[in-house]
Amino acid sequence: MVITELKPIEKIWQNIAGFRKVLVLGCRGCSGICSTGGDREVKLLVSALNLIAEKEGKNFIALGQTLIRQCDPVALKVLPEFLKEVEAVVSLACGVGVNLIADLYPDLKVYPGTDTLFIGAHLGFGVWEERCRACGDCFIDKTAGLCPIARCPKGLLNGPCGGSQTERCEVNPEISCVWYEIIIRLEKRGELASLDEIIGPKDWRSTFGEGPRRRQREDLTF
Amino acid sequence: MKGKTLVFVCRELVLEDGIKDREDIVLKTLDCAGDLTVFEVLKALEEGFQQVFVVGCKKGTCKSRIGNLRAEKRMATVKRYLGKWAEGYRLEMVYLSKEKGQTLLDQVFKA
Repeated sequence: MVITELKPIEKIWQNIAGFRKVLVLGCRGCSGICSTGGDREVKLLVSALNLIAEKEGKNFIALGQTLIRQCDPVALKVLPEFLKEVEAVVSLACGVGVNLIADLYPDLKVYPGTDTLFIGAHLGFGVWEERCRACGDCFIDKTAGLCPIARCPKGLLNGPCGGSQTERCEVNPEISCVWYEIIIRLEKRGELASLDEIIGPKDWRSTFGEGPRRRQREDLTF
Repeated sequence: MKGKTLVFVCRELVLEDGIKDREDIVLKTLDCAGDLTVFEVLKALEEGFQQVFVVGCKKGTCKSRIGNLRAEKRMATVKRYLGKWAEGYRLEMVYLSKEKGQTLLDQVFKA
């Protein structure tokens, strides 16, 4: 899922302090699941913003709504219903949600309430860690399912580097060396020979290509 | 409203005589300090309370094991949501011994 984090409240307030009525818009997708922008967080942010407005002596009211997703125009169709007299929206979705609202409602002032951090896995209560960098050219079939682009600070395609010490990463000793993990697993699988083949230079066009990456499935479009 | 101070207190703690009669303090008893929600605290501030305390059992003595620690984290979350504006309020977690001798008023208003 896309991992997000609530922006410092001072930054959120800075963007909306000049408005009188603001909608805090949550997302029950990734953002809700990682406790950044679900129903509960919308309620908390609305309450906090109204308190701040009172402290600042502003004529201001924050309202809250949560959509099933913000990364889908179908889910965003209902948004105008919530915008009566609303001057701005603070989105608690990931950056995709903010972008899509800005695309679909060009006259609406929308501001991010979160920072979008990474695509990650939930490792334990309150802990998420990056597992994919969405590079667009997945080769983890060769690395026992572990991605060195996301998990090696140097992003080495043919590792490990010379610096890893006792299974730990030299850049960040808090993490294990993913290349160490890859080799151990391939050895157990009897597939170590697959590393004899050098993984060639990566084609980064699939990552940083020409503008936003686009995927269109012919079997689903008309 | 009765007073400007709201005290959430764990049911396990024995309160000293007289505290319930104080006009300036509103007490809310919780089954465990860990039952406190962030929203309850923000709501209390919206209602006009300037001081909110959550009183939990001394560390290591919570019947729910970590309910008191959860309460402390929730108070920290309230402060995070309010940022620099939290400074205008007194928002504190208080750990109180279940044994006699340590009173809630001493702890809450020691400063």
